[in-house]
Amino acid sequence: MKDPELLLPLTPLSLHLLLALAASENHGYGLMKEVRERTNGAINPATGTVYLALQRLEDEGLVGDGGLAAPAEGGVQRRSWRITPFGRQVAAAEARRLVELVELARDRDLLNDANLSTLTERTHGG
Amino acid sequence: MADGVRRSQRVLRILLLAYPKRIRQEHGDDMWLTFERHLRDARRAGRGAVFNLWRREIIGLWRGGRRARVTARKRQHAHRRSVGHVRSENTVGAGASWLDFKLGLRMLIKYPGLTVVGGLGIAVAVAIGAALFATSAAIYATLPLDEGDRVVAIENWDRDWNNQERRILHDFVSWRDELESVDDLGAYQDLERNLIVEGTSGKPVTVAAITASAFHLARVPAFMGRTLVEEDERRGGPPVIVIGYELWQNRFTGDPEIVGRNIRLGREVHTVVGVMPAGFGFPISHSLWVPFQLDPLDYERRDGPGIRVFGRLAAGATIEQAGAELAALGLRAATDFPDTHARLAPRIMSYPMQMYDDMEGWEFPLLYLLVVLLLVVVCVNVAVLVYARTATRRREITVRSALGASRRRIVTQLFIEALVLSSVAAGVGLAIAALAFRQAGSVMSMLSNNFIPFWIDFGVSAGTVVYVAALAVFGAVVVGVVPALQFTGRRVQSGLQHAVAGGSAMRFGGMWTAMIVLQVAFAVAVLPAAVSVGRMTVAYGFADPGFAADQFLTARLLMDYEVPRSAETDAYWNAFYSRHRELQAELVRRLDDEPGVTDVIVTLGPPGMEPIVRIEVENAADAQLRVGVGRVDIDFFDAFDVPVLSGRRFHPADVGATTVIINESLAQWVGDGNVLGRRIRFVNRGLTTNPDEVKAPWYEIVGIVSDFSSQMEPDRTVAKVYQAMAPGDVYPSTLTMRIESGAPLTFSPRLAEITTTIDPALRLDDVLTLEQVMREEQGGWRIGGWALALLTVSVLLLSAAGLYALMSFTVTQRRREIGIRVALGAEPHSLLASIFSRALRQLTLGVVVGIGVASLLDWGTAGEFTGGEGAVLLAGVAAFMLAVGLLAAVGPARRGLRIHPTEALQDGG
Repeated sequence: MKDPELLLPLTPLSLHLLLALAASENHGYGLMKEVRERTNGAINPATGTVYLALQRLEDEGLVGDGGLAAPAEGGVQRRSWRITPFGRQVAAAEARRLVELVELARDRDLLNDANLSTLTERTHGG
Repeated sequence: MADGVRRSQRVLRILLLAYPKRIRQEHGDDMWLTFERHLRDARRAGRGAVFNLWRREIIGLWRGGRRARVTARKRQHAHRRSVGHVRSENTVGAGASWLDFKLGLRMLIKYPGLTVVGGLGIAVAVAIGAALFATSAAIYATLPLDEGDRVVAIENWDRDWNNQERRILHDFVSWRDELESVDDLGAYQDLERNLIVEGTSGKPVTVAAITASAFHLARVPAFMGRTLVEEDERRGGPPVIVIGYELWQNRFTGDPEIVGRNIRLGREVHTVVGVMPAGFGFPISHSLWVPFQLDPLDYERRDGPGIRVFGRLAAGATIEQAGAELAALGLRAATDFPDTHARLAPRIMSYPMQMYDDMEGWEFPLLYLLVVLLLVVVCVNVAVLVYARTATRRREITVRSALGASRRRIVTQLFIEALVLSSVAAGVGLAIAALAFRQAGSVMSMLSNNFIPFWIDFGVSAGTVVYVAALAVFGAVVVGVVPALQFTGRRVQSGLQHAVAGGSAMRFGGMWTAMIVLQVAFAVAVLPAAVSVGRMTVAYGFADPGFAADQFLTARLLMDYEVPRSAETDAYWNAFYSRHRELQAELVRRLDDEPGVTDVIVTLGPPGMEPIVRIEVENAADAQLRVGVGRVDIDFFDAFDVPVLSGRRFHPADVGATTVIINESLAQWVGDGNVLGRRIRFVNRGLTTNPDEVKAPWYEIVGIVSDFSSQMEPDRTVAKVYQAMAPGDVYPSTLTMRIESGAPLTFSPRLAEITTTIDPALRLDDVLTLEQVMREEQGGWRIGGWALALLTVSVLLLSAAGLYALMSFTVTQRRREIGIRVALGAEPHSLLASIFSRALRQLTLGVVVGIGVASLLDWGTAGEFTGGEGAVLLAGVAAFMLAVGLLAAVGPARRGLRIHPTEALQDGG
C-alpha cells in the first residue's frame, strides 16, 4: 500500500469528491450536486472536469466502481462511485494536513473573530 | 428523444473529442446522462441557467481536455526519461524517438550561432550537390518516350580534331542498310527558316528535316492528321509539314482546320498534314517537321549538310553489341575510304548523351567526388562545433550512461540532433538549388532561343530530393555520429566519469592541435582564391556597358540556304554571298529612310563580344597579346560616340586595306610615344607549325580610340583592334541601329516587317536592345557570383566559428592546470603568455601550411589561382584567422585566471 502522504495536497475538487463519497456511494450527477450545494456554488465544476477528477482518483486507487446505480430514464445504466479504504486514508490525511494548517494560522493569529466573520459571510451570505 | 435533447447530446459528444479516448470510452455515456440531468434542471430554472450551464461545460471541457492531454504526455515523457529508452509505440527505429527530434529542434534554437553557421555551411554544400545532381540527372536522363532508354544516337568521331563529323550522309545510308542491332535508324538536319503566317511578319524557327522513322521510333501517333511517312521522303513529292501542338495553339490559335492549310517557311510553301501531341519535341525541341529528302548521290563523302543520326536498339540487343557492330563498319569504311575515313570512328551512345559528346567519361564522377569532399570539409567543421557543444553536455551524457542508457542510445540521440540540423539545412540548400536551377533554366532558355531539349526539366525532381535526403543523412553521420562515438568511447567515458567525480580532465592534445592547424591552413589556402574569383565574377556580372546601350536595337541578319551539291559548291556560295550583300545593302538603305532610326551600322558581332585573336607588334621582340578583333562599319565610332584620341577615323578607302584602329589599352601595350604608323599582325594559334602560314600580313595603326564596351566578360580582353569592313563582307552580320524614341524594342515589329518584305528568306535572330544582349551575357556571371559569394562567406564563417570553438575548447581544457598554477603562485602574465604562445604556435603553423599550399597552387597556375593579388589576400585571410584564434583564447584564459584553486581541483574542466 502506498503512503497516503505522497498524494497530498489534493485539489479542492478531489477532496470534495472524496468527502461526498465518504458519506455514501453516489453517481456523477449526485456528486456534482452535493459538491455544489456543500460549497454554496463556490465549486461548480463542469461535467468533464468531474469525470477527469474521478478518473484520476480511480487511477490512484482512491475511488472505485460502486456497481451500477438504478437505471436512468431510457434504461441506460448509470455508473456509481464509492470511496476505497485507501481513499479514506488519503482524505483523512488531507484533512489532518488542513487541520495542521488551520492550527498554524490560529497560532499566527490569522483566525481571529474578525477574519472568521468575513469567512462566514462569504460562505453563507452570498 | 426530443430534437433539442438530441442536438445537445450531439454537441456534447463533439466537445468530448477534446478528451483522451480512454475517458470518452469509459465515461462518455455516463457523462452524457449526468449532463442531461443538469440540462433538465437548468431548463426548469430558465434560459439564463441553460446558457450558464453550456458556458461552464464548454470552458470546462476545453480546459479539462487540454489538461488531460498534457498530463498524459508528461507522464509518458517522465517514464521515458527515467528508463532511458523508449516504449515501442513511440519509437522511430533504431531506438530513436520523436522526443529526440524535438530535442534536436530545441537545440537549434538554443544554439543559434551553431545553427546559423553550421546550417549555412551544410546548406551551401547541399545546394551545390543538388545542383550537380540535377545537372547530371539531366545529362543521364532517359527520354520520356516508350522504352526511351533504348533510344540511341550514333555519330562519327573525328580523332584528329577531337570533335564530331556531322557530314555523314554516306555513312548514315550504310549504317541504315547494315546495322542489325539498331532499328528505326533515322537522321535529321536542322534548317533555320522564317515561319510566315498570313498577316504577320516572319519569325525565325528551327525546322527538322527528318526521316519518317523518327515517328515510328518515338511510338507517338499524331494528335491530328498524320505523321511523316516514307513516301514523303521521295524527291519532288508534295511539300508537307507536321507541326507541334504548342505552335499550333500559339501561331494558329488552335485552328481546327489546320490540316490541309498552307504555311510558308522562307521562300517555300508547305501543306500541314498533321499536328503532334503536346510536349512532343523529338529530336531536340522541335515543333516543325519536314521530310528528309537528302540524296547521298548529290554529295561526296565527308561533304554535304551536317546531320544527326538516331535509332532504337533492336529487341534483345545491347548498346555494347551495337557498338561492336558499328566499330566493325567503321573499320571497313576506314579501309575502303582512307582519304576521308581513316581518322573517323563511329560511336553509339544513349540519346541524351549526344549533347555532351565532348565530355570525358571521368569528369562527372570527379565532380561528384569533389562535392562529397566539400561536404566532408564543411561537415568536419560543423562536427568540430558540435563536438565542442557536446563537450559542454558531458555531465548529461555521463549521468544518462549511469542511469543505464546504452552507448547506442546516446549516439542515436546525438545523431538525431545532428540530423535535425542537417535536414533543416538541406531543406534550405534544396531551396537555394531550386532557385538557382530556375535561374539557370531561364538563362539557358534565353541563350538557346528556347531550344532546350524536351527531356530536360529544370524543376527539382524526386530523385534530387532523395539525393539531398541522402546528403543530409551523410552530413548527420559526420556531424553527429563521429563526435558521439568519440565521446562515448570507453577511454573517454572513464575520463568523463572521473571528470564528474572531480578527477582529471580529458586530453586530446594531438588531435586538437592537428584540427586547429588544418582548419587555419584550409582557410588560408582556399579563401584568397575564392575571394579573388568572386570579386572578379561580381565585377563582370554588374559591369556597366560604358555607353547608352539601351538606345540601340540589334539583331543578327541571316539568310536561308541549302547545302549545295558538292559539284556546285563554289558557284552556290558566290551567288549566296552576293545576294546577301545586295539584300543587306537594301535593308540598311530602307532602315536609314525610316523616321526615328539613325546610325544603322553592320558589324561582325555586337560591340564588346569581338572574337579573340593573338597579335604581335613589328620589331617588338616575341611579345604577343590576346586582343578582341572588331570588324566594323566605317561609321562605327560615330554611331557609338567613341572619341578618336589620336590619328584618324576610318575612310571608305580603309575597307579591305591593311589599316587598323586600336583602342587606348592596346596603345599602351604597344608602346610609349607615337604608336601611330606602327604595324601589328595576327598570329594563328598553333594549328600549323609552318612559320609562313602562321602569320598574316602587317596592319598599320592609323588611329587610337578610347576604350569602349570592353569589360563585359572576363574571357574578353580590354585590348581591341578594329578593322574596317564593307557591309556584306561578313555572314552572318549584326545590324545595330539607334532608335531615337528611346524604346528600341517597339521598333522590332517594323524591322521584321521591312526585312520580310525585302525577301522572305532574310531572317532576323536575337532582336534585342544592346543592353539586353549585354545583360544576357552577364546573367551567368551574376549567378556564379552569388553562388561563389555564398560559398566564400559560409566557408569563412565556418572556419572562423570552427576555429573559435576549437581554441576556446582547448584553452578551457587547461583551466584546471591554470588554476593550480595560479595557486602555486604563478604570475598571471607569464601564464597568459604561455597560453597565447601555445595558441599562436598552432595558428602560425596553420597559416604557414596554408600559405605554402596557396603559393604552390598559385605557382602552378601562374598566378591565376589568386588572380595575381595573392600576397594581399593571403595576408588578409591569415591575419583574420589569427585574430579569430587569439580572440577565442582570451575568454577562457581570463576565466582560467579567475578560477579559485580549490574550484580548479574539484572541477574537471
